[in-house]
Amino acid sequence: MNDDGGDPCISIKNVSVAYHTEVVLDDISLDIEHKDFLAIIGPNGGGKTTLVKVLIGMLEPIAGTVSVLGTSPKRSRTKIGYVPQTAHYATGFPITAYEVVLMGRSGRRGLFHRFTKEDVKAAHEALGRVGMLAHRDRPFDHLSGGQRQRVIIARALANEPELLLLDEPNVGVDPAAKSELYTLLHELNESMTIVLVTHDLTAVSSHVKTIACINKRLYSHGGKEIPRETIAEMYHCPVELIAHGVPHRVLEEH
Amino acid sequence: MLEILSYEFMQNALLAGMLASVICGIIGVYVVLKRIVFISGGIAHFSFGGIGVGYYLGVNPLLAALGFSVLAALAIGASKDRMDLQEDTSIGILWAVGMAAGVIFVGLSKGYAVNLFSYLFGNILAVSRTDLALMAALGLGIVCTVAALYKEFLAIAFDEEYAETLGIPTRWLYVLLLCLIALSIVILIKVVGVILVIALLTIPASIARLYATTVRGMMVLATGAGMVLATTGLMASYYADLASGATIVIVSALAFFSLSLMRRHQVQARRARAVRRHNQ
Repeated sequence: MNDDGGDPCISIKNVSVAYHTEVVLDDISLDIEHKDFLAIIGPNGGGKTTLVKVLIGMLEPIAGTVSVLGTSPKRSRTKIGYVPQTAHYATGFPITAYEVVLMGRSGRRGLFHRFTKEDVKAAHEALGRVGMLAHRDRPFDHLSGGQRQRVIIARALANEPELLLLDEPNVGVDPAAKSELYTLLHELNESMTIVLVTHDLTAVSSHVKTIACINKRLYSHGGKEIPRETIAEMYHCPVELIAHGVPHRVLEEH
Repeated sequence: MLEILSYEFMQNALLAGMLASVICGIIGVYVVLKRIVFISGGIAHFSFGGIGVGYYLGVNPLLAALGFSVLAALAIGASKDRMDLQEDTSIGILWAVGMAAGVIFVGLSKGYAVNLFSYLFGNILAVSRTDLALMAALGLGIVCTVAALYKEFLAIAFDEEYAETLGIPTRWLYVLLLCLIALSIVILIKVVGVILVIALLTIPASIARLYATTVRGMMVLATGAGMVLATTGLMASYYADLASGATIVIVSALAFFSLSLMRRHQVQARRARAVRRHNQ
């Protein structure tokens, strides 16, 4: 499984994170292997997004160590393709799909430098990979939720990452686009590690290889079958798992 | 109609309107897209404190205003995400303190009475050749800076958090942007006043946003819109014998209001056509 001498892709050891005095993540330890497709699930406010911020070096833990691709998160940033929630983009911003994707290359060129032919080529390739090349010149604002999601993924791909990190990729995306999104991620998984974070359990697809459950603590990490008690304990409510289906479904009891 | 163009004060005023439109057309796009209108207002009003202190101490009020506005820009930039106080609250305080300090120090200054009104709305008809040269130099500086850092400013305006993950020094660029805003405001205060500066920073850019598909296009459109509005407002004020700065603000606001209504109507009609085509 491992590409480089046994080190996992991401290694999280006894990590705790707090905002002011409130502990959001408590003593999390988690190793993520290369070429894994990990879904991190858990309720809203359970610290999933916080964990993503730690992994991209935006937030320092108060305890524990994190290593991403063999070094600190801040240093490995350029090898991480971060895909934030599309919902957080304000409407009315005048920018084309192509410009958004090209932005993914900004970190490679220093301040004051213009984009090169290589950047333009990488942006086009990334748009092609997510099937959005035909929409290249359309305003980002006019795209559907699913199309925007693809453009944001293409922006991350343009930087040629080794690890793709997606925060709630299902928000604002219709069911058909959701399943297409997983097909795309499945293809991408052949060449890179994928970590995705979601509170939507119905979204966890058969393409996912491992699942971690987080609600302040790490409740379980492993294969795709999660004990029902774990889910109930984590979500503090009874839930019904319809396992072995594609995709896996978890329905709340009312 | 053209005889008014033979007056030097009118030529200067028109030229000032053009230069202010270039400066505000470019900087205003960032102010609107990055949603820092209130921050810009705070910087502008805080610089008013500098004008008062300048008069009191007998130094050039504009230099003192520059010091105050850059100080405000640095303070706002440095305290971003680090303060316990909400950002809009602290800016509100900065805003009021600046105005209060300005009024007190102007009151304490001996000698001739300063016309506070002219700092609020400016006096575009009293622009000197020196003012014009200063504005031209600033305009050139802003065009060059924005051209050199276009991709970085685009990245922080669209998605600052993502820009940071790319290793772009977002905090420094944000502070630089606020300093550019501060500089623009100070140079334009004497000419167009605090209130007109805010209007010129927001209205032309908002009009441009109705039509633009790229940030670069939005800057060009905003500059053009500013030029048309400043000229129209100036002409209207001359013939109707109204205060020039205030007339430009009202003309701009009316233009924005009618254009956004028209634009909404257009977009709705286009959508209806698309739906009809789809259903056929």
